[in-house]
Amino acid sequence: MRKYLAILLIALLSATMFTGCGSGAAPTAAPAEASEAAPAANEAAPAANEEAPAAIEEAPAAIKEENVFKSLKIGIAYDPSTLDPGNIDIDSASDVAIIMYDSLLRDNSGQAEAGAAASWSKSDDNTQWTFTLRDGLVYSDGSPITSEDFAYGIRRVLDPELGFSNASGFLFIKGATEYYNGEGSIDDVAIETPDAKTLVITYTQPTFETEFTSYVYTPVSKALSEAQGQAYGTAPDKLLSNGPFKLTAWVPDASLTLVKNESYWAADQIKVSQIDFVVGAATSDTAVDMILAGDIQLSSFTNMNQITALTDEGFASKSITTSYRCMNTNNAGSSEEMKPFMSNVNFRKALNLAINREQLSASVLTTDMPAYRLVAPSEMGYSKAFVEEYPYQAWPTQSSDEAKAYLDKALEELGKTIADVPPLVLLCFESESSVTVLSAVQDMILKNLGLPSTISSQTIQNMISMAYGGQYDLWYGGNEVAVPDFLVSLGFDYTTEYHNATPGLRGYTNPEYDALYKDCASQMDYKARKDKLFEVEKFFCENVLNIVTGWTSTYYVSSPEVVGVQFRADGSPDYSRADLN
Amino acid sequence: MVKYILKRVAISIGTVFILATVTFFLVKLLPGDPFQNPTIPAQIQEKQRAYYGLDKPVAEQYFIYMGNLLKGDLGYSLKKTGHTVSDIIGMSFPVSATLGITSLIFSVSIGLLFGTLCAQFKNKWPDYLLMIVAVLGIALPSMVIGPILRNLLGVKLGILPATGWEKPSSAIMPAFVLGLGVIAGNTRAMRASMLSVITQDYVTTARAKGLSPMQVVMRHQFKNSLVPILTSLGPQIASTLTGSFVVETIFRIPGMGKYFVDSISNLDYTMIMGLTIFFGSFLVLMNLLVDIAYAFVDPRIRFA
Repeated sequence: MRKYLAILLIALLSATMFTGCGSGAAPTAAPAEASEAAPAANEAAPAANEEAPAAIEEAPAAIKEENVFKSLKIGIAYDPSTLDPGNIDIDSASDVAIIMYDSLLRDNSGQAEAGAAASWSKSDDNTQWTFTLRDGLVYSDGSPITSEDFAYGIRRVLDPELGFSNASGFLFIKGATEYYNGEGSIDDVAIETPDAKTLVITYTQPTFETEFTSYVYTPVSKALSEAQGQAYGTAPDKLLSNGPFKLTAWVPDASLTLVKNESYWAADQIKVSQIDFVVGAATSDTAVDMILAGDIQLSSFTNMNQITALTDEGFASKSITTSYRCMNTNNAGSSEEMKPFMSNVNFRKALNLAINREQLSASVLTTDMPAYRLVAPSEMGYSKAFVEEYPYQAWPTQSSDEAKAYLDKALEELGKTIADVPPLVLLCFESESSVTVLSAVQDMILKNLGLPSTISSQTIQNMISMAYGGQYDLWYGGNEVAVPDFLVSLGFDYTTEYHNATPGLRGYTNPEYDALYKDCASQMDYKARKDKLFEVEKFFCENVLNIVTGWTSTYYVSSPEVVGVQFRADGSPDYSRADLN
Repeated sequence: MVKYILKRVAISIGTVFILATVTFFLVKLLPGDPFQNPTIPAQIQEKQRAYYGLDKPVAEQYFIYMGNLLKGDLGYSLKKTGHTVSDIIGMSFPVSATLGITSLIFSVSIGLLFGTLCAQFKNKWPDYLLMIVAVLGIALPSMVIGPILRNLLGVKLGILPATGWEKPSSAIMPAFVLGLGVIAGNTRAMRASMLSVITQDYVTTARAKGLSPMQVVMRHQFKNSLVPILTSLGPQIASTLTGSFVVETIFRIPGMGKYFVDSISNLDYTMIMGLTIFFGSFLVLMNLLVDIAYAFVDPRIRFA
């Protein structure tokens, strides 16, 4: 008996070992092939982006290829919670929405051009916009689209009973805030549809073309929306779209399949027949393995080790600045004892200069470019990059001596000594990478200023809650590059209006800044707005309203055959014009 | 028997009710607010709270929730907009359950086999060798062995799908990784149980009757050693079948595991409640089934 069992045991272990081994000569063809073609693709990618209009003019060539079935598989980090334009709230959902929905205007590599609206006009003060829709616009099911569908898409999101998260984009429409707050009627919201092809929207402040490239300005079928209620946008048969691609399958937490929408007005410009978004396949080692295995052709990354692992194998890479990395300052301090220090501009300047941006980028934030001003190099000015039109360096590269001098000055102004400064509270999300970054910042502040600090790492919602409660001095986080510029995001966050709505969050009020903000926001001319924006930026940097440490890049890594991916003004990708060589 | 089962069912319902009540109030004690978001204006956050009824007093929210629960309505997820908690569980549980069953078949079979062999070769080299192999399963956490296997078998050798849940073969790697940790526990439990059975009089009698060694092991030792394994199998089934955050993330499997983690991190109250009630009910059910299974495995056990 024992002999038999021993034989069985040996056989079992042997089988296990053979299963674990296998042929070492298994093919790894995909990376090898990619390797040869990669340099060409690397060079071609930017050119394709820059020359998008030219590529669009080559429609006849595309028509010859229309019978060729081309399929593109793209990795995204998360499953969209919904594809209802009123509630889309994460990048992964946005990537899908951009190719599903055709807005009034289209963002073509950062420039607004005709979309569902064939033409448009605006009032002299940029507050009233009149759009004329294209002839024959239809939803993906063939049903006609009128201006009333666009108007309904906006009115629905403004319904205060439904709590849509994207309502904020519409609150600047005349009468919208009053309606939303229960002080007005939907009939007073300035959205008019004089005829089936004309849509007129009036705003309370100047608005610019880029606003209308957002997927929130898309038509919504009233009948379907009302029939589906809260479930609208959660499955292919529970939404209607009008963009280059239509959703045909959605396996929750696994994948979304979109096929070319032949009824899209520019269907001849769409080269790919099908796009599959594969969930859980971005910014991770899983995504690296999936690209190497050929399971996906394109994905996004923010970790330099992962990016290098792929580019070393010959995959193409393109980086886009997508957000500001920053230490949000609580200008009211985390406690009454800390308040005088954090509200002192020289104290904030000391903290700002104590943080070595180059060192952070070289060690722990390897996909960041050190920031020497607020506006990122990728942001547009009135005709070219803002940083080229308005050269400026707010902060020196390395300045521990200067940091110490500012601290001494602050202490002198306050009549305090360094021993009077309580430990700073550094708040962050509980991830390992966040804690690593704050540990580095903690060391820099201690080394350069002699100030101790404690790190408070929290779950995401608790972190936000603590930030709302003002329980931090520096809060590690980021802000997305905004459209048309930072005035609508970080710029607004330091106004008294924002402070009154969220008293603990930033702790900053300054009438001088309010005046600058309002002056900039009310500019009717785009050039004048950018001129004023520069003034806001300088005030922002000189008073250290927020310690911007770097501009974060997202790297899009793809197989060499993938070309034609465009990037919008906010850095988000538009895969609708992609092609496969 | 029927009376025993009915009594256990009544206790189970009471347990789930207490679980739901305690969880509801514990969830409300979690710090933070699910709708606080610095990028969304305060007035919109208020509307969102009102939409989900979170602006009402907690006691009122509790009675509304329990009323809906009695009707089988677990509510809408606060974060996965437009999806009901029941739908999410309904879609993700079958995936996790399939993976879990595959993993359990693998890990329990190997665990029983290793445990039996260890007992037969007590304190000899096969015993030591198999225990080392089994313990290695625990020593290698899934977040280490998972990516290594994925890269080796899925990318370099290309003999199994690297990730996903599209093909039957997609289950092999994750089931193996998920089961590794369970093997060691089952091996140790089976070894100990069988060693206590080996010295029993009825085993000696069986040998004296002239039964072959294999017949003695299978008919008299193996079956009677299963009771302790069954005891641990109830919670083991419940936890394995309801998913693993790590394994599902590594292999990109659309199961339930991630919801357990994400719902707490995101303060998705209804999702936390739904998952807790589902998991609790499932655990209670599995334990009930295990209790009933005792009678079939060991006739000495009777239900008074």
